[in-house]
Amino acid sequence: MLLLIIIVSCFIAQSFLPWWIIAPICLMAGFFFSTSKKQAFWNGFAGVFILWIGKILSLSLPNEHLLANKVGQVFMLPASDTNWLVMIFASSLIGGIVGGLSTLTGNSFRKTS
Amino acid sequence: MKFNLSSFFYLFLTLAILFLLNTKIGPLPPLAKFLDPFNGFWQQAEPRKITTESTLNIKGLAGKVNIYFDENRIPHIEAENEEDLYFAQGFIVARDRLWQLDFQSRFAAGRLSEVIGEKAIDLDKYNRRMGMGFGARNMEAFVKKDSKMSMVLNAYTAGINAYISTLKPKDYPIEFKLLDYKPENWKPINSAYLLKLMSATLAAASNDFYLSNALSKFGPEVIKDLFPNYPFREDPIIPTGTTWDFDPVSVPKVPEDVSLTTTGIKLNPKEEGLGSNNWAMSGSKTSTGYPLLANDPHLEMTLPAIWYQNQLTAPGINVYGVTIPGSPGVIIGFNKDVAWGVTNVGSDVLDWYKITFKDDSKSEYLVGKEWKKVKKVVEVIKVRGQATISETVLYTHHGPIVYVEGEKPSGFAKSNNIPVGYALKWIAHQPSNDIKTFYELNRAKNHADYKAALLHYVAPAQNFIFASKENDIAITPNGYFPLKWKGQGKFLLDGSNPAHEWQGRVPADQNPTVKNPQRGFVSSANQFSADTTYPYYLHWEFTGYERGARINRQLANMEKATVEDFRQLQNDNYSIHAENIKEVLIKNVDVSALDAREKKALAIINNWTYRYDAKEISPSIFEWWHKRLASGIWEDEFSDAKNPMVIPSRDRTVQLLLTDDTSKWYDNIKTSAIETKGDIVTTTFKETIDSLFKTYGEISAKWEWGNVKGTNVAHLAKISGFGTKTLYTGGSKTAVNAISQTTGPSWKMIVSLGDKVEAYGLFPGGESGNPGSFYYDNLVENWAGGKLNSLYFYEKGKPDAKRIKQTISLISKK
Repeated sequence: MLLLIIIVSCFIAQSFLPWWIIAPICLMAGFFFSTSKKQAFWNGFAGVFILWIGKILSLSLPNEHLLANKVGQVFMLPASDTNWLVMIFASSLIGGIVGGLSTLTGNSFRKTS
Repeated sequence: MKFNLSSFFYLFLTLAILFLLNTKIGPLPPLAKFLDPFNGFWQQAEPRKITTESTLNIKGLAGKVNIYFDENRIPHIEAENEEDLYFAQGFIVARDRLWQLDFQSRFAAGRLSEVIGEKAIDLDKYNRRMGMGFGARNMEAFVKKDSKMSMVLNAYTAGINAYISTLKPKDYPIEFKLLDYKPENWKPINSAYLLKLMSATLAAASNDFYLSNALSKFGPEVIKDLFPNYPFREDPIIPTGTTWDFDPVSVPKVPEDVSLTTTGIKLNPKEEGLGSNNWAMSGSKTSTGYPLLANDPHLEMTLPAIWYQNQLTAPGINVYGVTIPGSPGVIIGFNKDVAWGVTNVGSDVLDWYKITFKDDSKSEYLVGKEWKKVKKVVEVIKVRGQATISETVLYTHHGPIVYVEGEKPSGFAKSNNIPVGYALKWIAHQPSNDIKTFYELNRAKNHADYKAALLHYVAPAQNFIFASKENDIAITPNGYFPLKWKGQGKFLLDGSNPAHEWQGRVPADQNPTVKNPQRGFVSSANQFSADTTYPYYLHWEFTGYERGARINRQLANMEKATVEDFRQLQNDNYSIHAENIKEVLIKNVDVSALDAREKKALAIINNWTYRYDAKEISPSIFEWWHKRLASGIWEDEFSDAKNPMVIPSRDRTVQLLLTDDTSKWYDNIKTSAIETKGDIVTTTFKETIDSLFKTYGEISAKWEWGNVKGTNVAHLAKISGFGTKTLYTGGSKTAVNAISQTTGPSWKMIVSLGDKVEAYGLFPGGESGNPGSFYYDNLVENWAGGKLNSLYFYEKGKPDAKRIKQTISLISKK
């Protein structure tokens, strides 16, 4: 449930707003819909991670990863046809960490029972 | 409500991470902002498959514009009127090259620090002190007086801005995202800046300072011998024997005292490599009976590509060719009646004037017997992440005093050859309407139109080559040539002596020109414009004659020439320089002093037929050897840290080697022994083989010229991953195929005129400026392989559906 809420609401918001909108969204989702710290973090992490991987693949596959392989070299990777794997993982990981941490923060503001 | 303390810890941690990931740190972009798939760089990953048809509603158009893209994504723009045509050209160039437009105009205007920060400060100061802004403003004001050209420039500007207004941050080109800044609106002066940048690239070299130093050390006799006003070997652009059908204006007399010197800067000689080739052949020597024309301008090659190809069609114009992003129209190209191209003219259009100030306030300076007021111009440089800098530049009637005492930066290579306390007189400061020349050439129908178009052109001076369907061919070294006494500006000049000033210009209609010469072809490769019968002085040195001589030799031998013959000539790796001196070098090697490896190398080069082919080993040996030899001959005398000088030219070195066996210059003055010609030739050969061995190991495929040269095309801002890989190619600066490590033919074109024009061309890049596009560097492979692409030029009606892969219609938004 929490996972789905995060994926859908982040997808809609990110279509109009800058990347950091995922933080307040996850925070709210964590505040209202999470059950535990652990559940909050992993759902937040997975939600954004999955969303970003999906979006990236929708862009990078038709591009045959041409750009991702080049951008890898901007980040000091050697020239290689597999840099895109690193770039996709690194991008989604960063999104996931922000998502997880924000959802966790939301959870922490829930009234202690 | 009661919260845990830990809640605030998590909140703080989240905010801190958000801040870090949204901030540019060092050379890295703001990480999450950049990696975000919705707004970051992933948005620039263009699909291979492109949509076939689309319509855009754009404000600012009068009618409808159709833009057809062919298989190489080259736009063919069709408009109902001229204004819409230039609007659409601006729009589509911005779509493909927005960051390049922004970056290059910032570079020229000295505004890079605004986006790059402190590391660009020295460069920004340099461009401002050289008066790039002064020149661009002069050009802008001059073009404004011409209503037609104003219309062109304004429409083009409006088109660029119409494109920018359609962008959301996610659409910004990837370099904006990497460097974390936003595109700003285009202004007509930015186009002026980009044209001035061509002068800065092609017409800003100066050896005046170094040569003055050499003059004071060696005296006039040695200088006259080693730095003559006309070379030992030459094959001038206007063929020897051509008569000048005009009455020359009177040329200024040489004043009594013509040289000044100063000291204090390091050696940084003028680099060769920014040359070009063009040639045209009369129908009497071609297979079709109509002229053929070829052009390949050599520049420092970069991605996004320097040039942008397009076809422009509207009532009164239908032209195909390349332009520089930022400059409306077509610079090198053809229409159904004519074809034209350009190569650089290395005329002397930059001089230095010693300024005599009245006192330390530096507010007045001497001219003749009068004190003139210095004008102070404050340049304000914004620096990203730092306080704004103000620089005051002193202007005289000559131009800006680039550096007064204490202003010259140390360790900034570009300013090494600039004498301190001298004012700069430079053609790039001249008000000019150069785009009008191209506007008229784009519409030219015959030789008379070509002649008329050239009269507007000022700088950077170019050898304008021309061919028409009416079977005329012509070439004109053309631009604003200052009227000078013979040798004026060869050395530093005295700003207080009015006799040292430029005395007006060579009348534009007396620039050297030739039409339909006897030999049936015209050509240029940056060599001397004309021989010594031409009544005006243009410069004492031009690029070496070798490429030009090879072109002329090959063209003279052609009968019933075809496009294929021209293609082969563009890719010709034969070096006349090697032909000139290889034998004399080998003859002078003392074989008894060689070891086994050196003997093997000597045997290889002995069999060499002077071609810089990629698979040959000899060019690697020869190239390193002749350079080492030239340094060996001259640098013991001419290298002086306190008193930097330029060494004699390649031509003078060749003359020495061929005609003098006992010259004192062969001796190394830094040793007690007296070295002979044989000694220096042998020693430098041994050193060459030793260096190659240390770098590439034993003689093997690694020594091949294609590997040793290591050509590559880098990104304009040197972003790693956005350039090409190393390209295995032949070529040399002294061969027609002038591919060096980083410079080379930035556009290759061959046009076959006739009832139906056939044209071929490509450049080392692609139409798109987006590294995430399949059209960013798609032409590189064919370019490196010496192939040509057939260019699609449609004359009337609808374009052929087989050649058109995509259509965009621009419709006026009410």
